Amino acid sequence: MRPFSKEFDRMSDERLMELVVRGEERAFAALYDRYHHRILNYFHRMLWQDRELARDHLQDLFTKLAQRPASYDPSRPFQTWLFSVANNMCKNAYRHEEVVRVAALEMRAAPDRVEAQNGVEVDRELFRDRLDAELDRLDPDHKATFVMRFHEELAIKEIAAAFGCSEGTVKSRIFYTLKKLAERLKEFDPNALNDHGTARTI
Amino acid sequence: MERHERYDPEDIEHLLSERSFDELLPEERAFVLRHVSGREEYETMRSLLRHVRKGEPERMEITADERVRGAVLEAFRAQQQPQWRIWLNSVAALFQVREAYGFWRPAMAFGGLAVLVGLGVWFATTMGPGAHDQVAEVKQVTKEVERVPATPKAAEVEVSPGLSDQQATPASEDLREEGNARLSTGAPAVEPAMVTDNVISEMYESEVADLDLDEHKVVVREKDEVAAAEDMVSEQLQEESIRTVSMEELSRNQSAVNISGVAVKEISKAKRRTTLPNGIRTVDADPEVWAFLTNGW
Repeated sequence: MRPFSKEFDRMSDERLMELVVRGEERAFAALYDRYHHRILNYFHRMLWQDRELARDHLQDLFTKLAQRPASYDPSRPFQTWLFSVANNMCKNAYRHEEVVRVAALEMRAAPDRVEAQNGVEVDRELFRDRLDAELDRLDPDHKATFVMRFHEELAIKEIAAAFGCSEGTVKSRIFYTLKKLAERLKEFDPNALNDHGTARTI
Repeated sequence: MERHERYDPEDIEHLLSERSFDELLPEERAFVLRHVSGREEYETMRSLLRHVRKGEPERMEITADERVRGAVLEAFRAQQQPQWRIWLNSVAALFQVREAYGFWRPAMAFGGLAVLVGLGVWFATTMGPGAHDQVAEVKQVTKEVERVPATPKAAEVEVSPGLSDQQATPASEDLREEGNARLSTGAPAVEPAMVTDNVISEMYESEVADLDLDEHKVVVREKDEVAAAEDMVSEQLQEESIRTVSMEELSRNQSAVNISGVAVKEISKAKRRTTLPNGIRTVDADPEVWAFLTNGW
């Protein structure tokens, strides 16, 4: 029985973190319940759609939070702080597995023939796979910015706080990421379909 | 004059979301064309953005195992201080709480303790074996009180013929005090004294009214005994008709009245209350009381 669980649910992230620093386990559990799904899927997107790796990183992140709750900077919003920590973990993962992943990316980025359905509808599943593959080829900061913006639906201001940069930098990253992806995923543009109703291949 | 841009490159995201290339205002189109090559690129980016936004909600998301939750909570528990220190912190927090929530833990602890103590006291007073005995005792006292004779039999000590009425009519208590005073100072014994049964009875009733129930019980018993003793005195008086009471007899009589000493105690209390309102008298300092107690015992 958790008589005060509703009270914890109503608390802000920052207040919960204050309680976590004091050793309140239910506050920690409330924060985990509030963010674990988003963080897990963020890791999943950022770490090459590897589920086990994403779960490992989720556990590592919250274990670090449990062991060093005082490392949280109370002047920052908890959400952006949490995503910045997750992003740094992703960068570390990139560094450690760079060699392995380059080989994997080359395999995944092999030319595919993408068939448009009914001449107009694209295969969304294929599109997602290609999008993920192209995202993995991007610079980690651009990729993280794109994922936070369009997958986690964070505001520009929150992304800027997570990266510790200006909002203009974030917007610029988003623009150039869109431009690059549009160029690489041109075949999924219905306007670019050829006369046979088939998307162009890369 | 410097011309300020109405749009920044980053705002293209907004334009891509809202308008096709053909729907752009001339000013917006000019701005877009500074960052993209042309209509085709703009539309491609717009299509990509639409696909991304449409596809994200349909993306199958993964979920974490409960094991992960258990593992991180276990890590948190292991990291935390021992429980007694947490409890002490919560007690200290009573004095520096910023939110009402901070009160709950010490409040629950102290509240629980108070409830337990209260229950213990209540059980001891109402359910314990001593409580039942006390109730039974009260019932016995009630019956005993009912058996007390209504008015003790009259016992008269008549004054010798030489005394006037004024000398013969003070209350028995006053007589005793006077006698004790004379006894302690070596003066001759009180000559005739008139002690009526009504006076004694009134004295006892007033004394009994101040006593608790248990003391009342004792006094009632003593009252019976006093009544018996007074009956004896009365019979003697009837036999001797009129005679002079010596100090020894008076003392003996008072001793008989105060068989258990309780009456003496109560009388001395009453005397302190009534005759000395301005100061405290001790037995050592007051020869009258000392003599009275000596005679009584």
